[in-house]
Amino acid sequence: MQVTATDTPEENATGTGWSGFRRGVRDIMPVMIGVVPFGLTYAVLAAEKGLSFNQIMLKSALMFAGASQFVALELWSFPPPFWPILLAVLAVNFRHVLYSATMGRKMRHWPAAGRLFGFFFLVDPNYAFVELKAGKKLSAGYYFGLSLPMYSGWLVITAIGAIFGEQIGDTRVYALDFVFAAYFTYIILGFRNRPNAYPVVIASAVGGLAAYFLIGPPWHIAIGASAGIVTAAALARGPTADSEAAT
Amino acid sequence: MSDSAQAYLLIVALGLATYATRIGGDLILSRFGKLNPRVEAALDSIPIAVMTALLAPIALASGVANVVGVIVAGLISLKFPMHYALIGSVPVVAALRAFGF
Repeated sequence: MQVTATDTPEENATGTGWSGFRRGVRDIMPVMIGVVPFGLTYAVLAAEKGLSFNQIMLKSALMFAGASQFVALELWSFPPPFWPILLAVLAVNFRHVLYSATMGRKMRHWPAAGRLFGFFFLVDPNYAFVELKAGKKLSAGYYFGLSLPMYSGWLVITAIGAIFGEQIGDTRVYALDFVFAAYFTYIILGFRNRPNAYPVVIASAVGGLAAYFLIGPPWHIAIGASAGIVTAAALARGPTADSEAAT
Repeated sequence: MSDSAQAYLLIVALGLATYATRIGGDLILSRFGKLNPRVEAALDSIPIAVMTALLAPIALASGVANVVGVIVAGLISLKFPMHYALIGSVPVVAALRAFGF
């Protein structure tokens, strides 16, 4: 088999148990800064749309998916259109299918119930750190060290936004929304030694931008990602061609 | 059904749909044994491909401040840990936005 392009090939690269948990908490903390304006803005907008405090909180607790919570809000009215909102949310969250397919390979040693529980917390930052740092076997300690602050932080921030609402004002001024862009930049560069990283980046960026302008969000995520993934599959080389011929 | 009940029903449905996307990929993939290397290569590219698609419009189609910010964050990321990239780039973007970029 071709050597898989894990950046830290050792098993349990982040440490297990408490040490893994602490490492996870340490990794996720800087990202939490970016969650603050995101969660506040979501809750403020939701309150303006007329959702009750309980509804705002339930949505954060059950979905735990910032981007798609925003998309659902944009389409929200009274009564809310069920299928359009559901479809839009599925379109934004489709990337999780890809995430869980890749991350699941590192969780084969987890019990089934643990996996079903763990996948609930599969958000972009957690996934990115797992891919970047966790090696071939993801330790539960590390994963929940990422997940617990993320999930509890998301709920706390949502509650603060829902309660204090308009007093918070426009968070764009502080550019805290840019934390996510900086963070994605760091993550993408962290993968630059993977095979064909540059062609994949170019294909995804071009495909994503084209879809963004021609079709509009959220489709740029699925279309841009597909362009990159197809490029990676097409460029896969070495023993690949032989073993493919054999299958 | 009352408006409120309908809203709660939808919120629960959205939660279930989101959870389905989070277990879906693993449920499908774990049915297969050894994977074709081309499929492995495609899976290995997923984090780069998805993150790039998410970032591209934010970086390149959301104002000059963001373009500069991504360049600054990228240069710092080549040498330093993540929080340096955040601390170094966010104030730059805030300053540029304050000057109307």
